[in-house]
Amino acid sequence: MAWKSERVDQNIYSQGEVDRWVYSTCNICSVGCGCHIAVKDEKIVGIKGNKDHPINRGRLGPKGENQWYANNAPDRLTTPLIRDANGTLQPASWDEAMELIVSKAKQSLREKGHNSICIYSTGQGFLEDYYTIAKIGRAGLQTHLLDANTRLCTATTEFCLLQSFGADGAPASFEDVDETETLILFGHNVAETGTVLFERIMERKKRTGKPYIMVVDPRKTLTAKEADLHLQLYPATNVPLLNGMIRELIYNGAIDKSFIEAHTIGFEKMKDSVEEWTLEKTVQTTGIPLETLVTAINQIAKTPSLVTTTLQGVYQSAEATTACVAVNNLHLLRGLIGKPGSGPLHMAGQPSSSANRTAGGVGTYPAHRNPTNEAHIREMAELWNVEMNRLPAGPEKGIEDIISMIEREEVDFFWNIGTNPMVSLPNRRRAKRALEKTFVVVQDPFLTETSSVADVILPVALWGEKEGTMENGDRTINVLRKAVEPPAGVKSDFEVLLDFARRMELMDKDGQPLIGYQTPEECFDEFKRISKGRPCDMTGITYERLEQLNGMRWPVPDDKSTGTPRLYSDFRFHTKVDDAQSFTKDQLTGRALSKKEFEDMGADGRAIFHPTVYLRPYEEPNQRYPMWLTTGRLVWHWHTRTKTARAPMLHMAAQHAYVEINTEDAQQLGIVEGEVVRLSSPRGEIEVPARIGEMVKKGLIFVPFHFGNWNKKEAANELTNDFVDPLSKQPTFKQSVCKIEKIRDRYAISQNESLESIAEQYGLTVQDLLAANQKADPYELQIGEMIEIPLSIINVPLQPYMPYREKM
Amino acid sequence: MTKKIVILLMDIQDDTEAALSMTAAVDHPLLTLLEASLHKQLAALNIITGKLSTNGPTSLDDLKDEYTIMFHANEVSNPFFESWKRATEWLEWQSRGLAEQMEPLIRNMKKNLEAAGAELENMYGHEAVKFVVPSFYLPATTREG
Repeated sequence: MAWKSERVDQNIYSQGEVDRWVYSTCNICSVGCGCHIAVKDEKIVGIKGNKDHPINRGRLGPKGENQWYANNAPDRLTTPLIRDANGTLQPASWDEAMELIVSKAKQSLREKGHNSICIYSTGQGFLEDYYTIAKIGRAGLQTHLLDANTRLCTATTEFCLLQSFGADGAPASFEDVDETETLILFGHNVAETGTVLFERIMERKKRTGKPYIMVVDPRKTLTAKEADLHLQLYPATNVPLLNGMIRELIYNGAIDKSFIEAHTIGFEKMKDSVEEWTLEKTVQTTGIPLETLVTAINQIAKTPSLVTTTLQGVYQSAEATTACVAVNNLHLLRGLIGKPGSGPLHMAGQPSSSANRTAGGVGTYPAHRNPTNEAHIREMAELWNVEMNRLPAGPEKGIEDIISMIEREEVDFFWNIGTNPMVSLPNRRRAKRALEKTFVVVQDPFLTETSSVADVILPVALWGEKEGTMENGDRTINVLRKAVEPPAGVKSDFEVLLDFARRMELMDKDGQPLIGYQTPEECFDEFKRISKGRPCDMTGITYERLEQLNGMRWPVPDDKSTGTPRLYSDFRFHTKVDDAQSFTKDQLTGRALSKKEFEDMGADGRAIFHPTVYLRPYEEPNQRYPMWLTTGRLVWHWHTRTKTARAPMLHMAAQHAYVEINTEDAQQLGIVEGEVVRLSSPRGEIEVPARIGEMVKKGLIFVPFHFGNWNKKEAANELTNDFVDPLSKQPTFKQSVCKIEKIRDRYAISQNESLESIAEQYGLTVQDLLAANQKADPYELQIGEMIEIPLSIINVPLQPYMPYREKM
Repeated sequence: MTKKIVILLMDIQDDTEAALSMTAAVDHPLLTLLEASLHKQLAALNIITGKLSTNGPTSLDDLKDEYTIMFHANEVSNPFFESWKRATEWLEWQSRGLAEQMEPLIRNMKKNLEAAGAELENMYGHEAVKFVVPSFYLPATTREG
């Protein structure tokens, strides 16, 4: 069971007692910790964990504890801004800004049609915002270009679930993590990205010795260091590893034949696709020692229960959806799904990215409706009271498709809500050039790097200043109450969307306003009606019940239900034709299958095994760019640091970008600790200090992606390629090629000079100089000899964070 | 109208075959994906043009599945080509020249499929083709209602 005891973490900065505590949910990662917001003198002054919330029992992560500082940051935007003819952003009234937006939207519709408008939103807003975006975008503007930064985060979650089970929604939940005998953390550095969940896992592990933890990651992460078994594979080899495991399980007979026969289709084709992956070939391709691989397979073969989590190490890698489908295949093969302690738990990254998928602000239609199924679109038209021909149909576009459309001048209006793509998109220079060509609205509480391409900026409310619900990584819906009013001049995203719909005069077919609700709670009530009978049925949820019960996992079909901890316990999947959220895609190319093709598959309520064919990565190290670059996260920061850089403790804990280099590579290149090196790829270059060690394997480097200031050369996404997964269209941030170069002066040692004086002149130590020149002793250097001087050395200390050992 | 569609589709068939003949010599995963989608497009085209040439005008239902496959195969093939072209430029591969040769074929296929989409919409109406022709292959007009 979860948490033997409560522990209330809190972080308050207040003179005297706070005036009130307001019920809320952490707005950082996808774990969804319950919390209360401290308010004094109508300002947010702190946070404490909710001891009664089953997800965290009072605990909070470091980012969660410090998220409220951003609310009080002195550089909050409090007025809209419009770029003038000279290219300068000038303050404007809300009326001026909204009228400009509306006139540009109408112009775009008139001149280039519905699909010339794109709304690119977030995974950090509320379900009510996303549902409103879905309704305005699809039934109002009639555009098929609704996407979000969830494309960079968890699009693969959705598409792997549609492929295997017919609908979105993680089959297992955190309760299954508490019960399982074996936990595979596949590309999931939970110690840094979901600290409270990690603490929950490790609390049980310390108490009971369970579960057996297996970590799959090319880096020796904080999570990997606590694993029973670390499979440190080469980059871009997730599919070979899974194929090798699956083949061996089949050959060893470690499969649940009766489950496969009764509840699945497609086993033989899947089996054929893994046939070539012998143990030897798997070892050779993945770089995992044979003994380690066999240990892993034996553990999977014998375990009575299994939860596999996945995150960015899979989603942002080559063949992302195929790898996640292989994880689903593994569970189906062993019949370990829909049972206590078992099932795939494909995680989300952001606090409400799952809500955006569920509400239909991104991907498919609201409440898991299939955009290629006529029956579903007709039903949506009836529910929204619009003509069916208004609603766009067919497969969606991802942000990289949209960037290409902007380049071709097909998109004239780009509405960016709650995200900072100029730091978070891969190959960001290309994205910047594209966005400079179109009209861009940026909706954000702060000026960000994306402001550089904005034509209009709308200042919006932060967490604690608005009301709504979020969905976490395990289908739990939580409510967040409004603690304080936003600063004067600031509106919530929800209010902005409603204002836009009103000014655009968006109507239903009876001439009534398309958006009939006025408050988030009224919006949620409408969404409940939309969700009735669908996989994410929320009929039994109210804001009040969410607060009373501290969240509920959908489906919640009536007011007696308290939610559903795990899906598919009846082994019936959402693969009947008019139930499915998708007719699925071709597993190799991502082509959307036709209704007939899906019908012909004959799944009819059974889960689907898909073949998992391996393709080489699209880009591989070569003579010019001999290294692999992978990017990722630090425990101290969230995404592009819009919020976390404004929390003093988090900013101090990790102030700079850096590059992790393997010791052997650093020695070969003669790079010293902290030396600023130039990393370049075919897309661009950055200059960051080196952290040398064993975190990464030889041939691989790691750069955190959080840092992206245009005035500094430290953005990882200057380097990354913009290839995407064929099914989920998620970019492959984890695998780009690059090279490392030293940035040095050459200096001739003259008479009367010592190494100490040269070092002092450049602000270095003698040891730095010796190491940079690969000398052990000062006496190895002679007068007249040319030496290399590192131009800059920056110490990059990172605070350790191991919450289950010691609280900071 | 059927004659116009047949001419368009036969043009696309020719371009697809020409593009496939070019990719055969190069080994790259993005080209593997491009080839797979173009083969699917071509297979659907062969059925459609065969039936239209033999039987003349047909109801949409007779070829609905093939049209759907053809359009959706083309929709995924374009980003594969664009990604591969960028890759050849980034890494200055020899196949860069090949990408430049293929580009007019890929663009032509898309242009002709858009024309075919418009033609199908004219013939059968928007509601009938809505789930056959992807939104991005239909004329960019305002839909009232």
